[in-house]
Amino acid sequence: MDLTREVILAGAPGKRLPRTHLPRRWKARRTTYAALRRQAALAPITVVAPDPTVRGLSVQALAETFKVKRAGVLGVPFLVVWLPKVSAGETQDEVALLRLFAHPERVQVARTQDAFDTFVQSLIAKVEVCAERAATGESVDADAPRPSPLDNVRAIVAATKDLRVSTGRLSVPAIATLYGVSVSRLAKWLGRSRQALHKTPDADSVQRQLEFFERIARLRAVLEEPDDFRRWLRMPNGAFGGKRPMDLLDEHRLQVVADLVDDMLTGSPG
Amino acid sequence: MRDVASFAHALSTAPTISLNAVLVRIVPGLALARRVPPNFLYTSGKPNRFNPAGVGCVYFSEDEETALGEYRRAWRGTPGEHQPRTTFYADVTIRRVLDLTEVSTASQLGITRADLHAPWRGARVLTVTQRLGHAISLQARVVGIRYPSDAAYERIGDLSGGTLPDPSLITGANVVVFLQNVRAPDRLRILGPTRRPLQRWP
Repeated sequence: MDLTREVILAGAPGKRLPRTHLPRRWKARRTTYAALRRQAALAPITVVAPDPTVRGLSVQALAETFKVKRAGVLGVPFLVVWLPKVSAGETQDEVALLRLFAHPERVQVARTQDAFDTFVQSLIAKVEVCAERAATGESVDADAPRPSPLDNVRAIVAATKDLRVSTGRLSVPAIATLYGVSVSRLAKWLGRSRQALHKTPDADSVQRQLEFFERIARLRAVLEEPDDFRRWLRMPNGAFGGKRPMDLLDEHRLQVVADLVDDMLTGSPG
Repeated sequence: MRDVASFAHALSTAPTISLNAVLVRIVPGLALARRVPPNFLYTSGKPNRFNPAGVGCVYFSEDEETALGEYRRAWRGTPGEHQPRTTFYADVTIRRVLDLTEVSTASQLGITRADLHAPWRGARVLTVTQRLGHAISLQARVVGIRYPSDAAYERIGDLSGGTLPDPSLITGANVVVFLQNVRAPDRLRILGPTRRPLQRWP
């Protein structure tokens, strides 16, 4: 779970790379593309200088390499593509360039030293916050709950079977009813539009996120009456410093509530 | 002091105790007793009082009374508080445990009573105790921590009218074991109805 505070710079031999001005605790390391490709895990920020004249160093080749790379607690690493000079023949439209990447939101194109400095400083701040979140158990891009020791306990899993429709999919209306909230509020928790949830209440695209609510509803293995479960959701809870589980759902902190339910059902002291 | 690097340094000389005990967990009975029990040694890497996310730990109480206090606190105000319960036991032998119920040991590490009972669920940054746990995960000497039960602390606080409890009154303790640090002859076994344990580690 350690965060490696490192910026890797990779370019073709002899290629000029931007200068780095890093805060304390952060280090810069220069490497080759070949070494970069061999590395199982990357640093949170990697700077690359593509070179279309060298085999394997085109932007497309880099995009392929980065598709599968991960950076420890951060998950998908940040990438800065250094393109300081663009000749007329190799003009790179930024949209076209970003389309090549599996995670365009993690890519920055820097064309000047000033822009590079600004991007790197901003990315370092993002990495620090993302690492902090990951360490406290709220991963940055969690779209489903983490595995639980209760996943194979049949009596626990059975307690939420009424949240699924006949196809086996989790149902938005069933979850909204159990939680005693409108579909609009559930949509807010999921970061979706109400219309989208109404249209396809058991859509594939929301199934993983809905698992958070199924996980929390496992409490019904003990609180069998739906009213008791709803009351628990709305009770101030000492484990959350007096906040109600519903407050945390409003803050999109679904995993934190799911973790408490796991601990209650497994008797783990806190 | 109190950052991961300082804790890691302090752990190399921190006093430890050996623990040879049967630890306890109480779980809701109706849901679990008749079926397969949960995998107590499974760690999903979720954070807890002494570990950041990604560090595999298991937590137990030192005796039934403390485990019951923890259970009751978790289910307080719900019908679960007064439902049948099941008790599981873990037979534990660990040579090096940090005993934070000892004020001198905690003080040596710069850990205060407030740190030991600080809320950690949903904290946006790592708590002091989670930073200590992170440091423990980076070394091999210390394998576990014995610490005062927060439920016991709260109970004494309630009895004393909400004032800060007298530390000497808090008798319940919990134990956290860092699974990756457990090496034979240290061991942890979840006891079952026969001589064969339900689970064991390593």
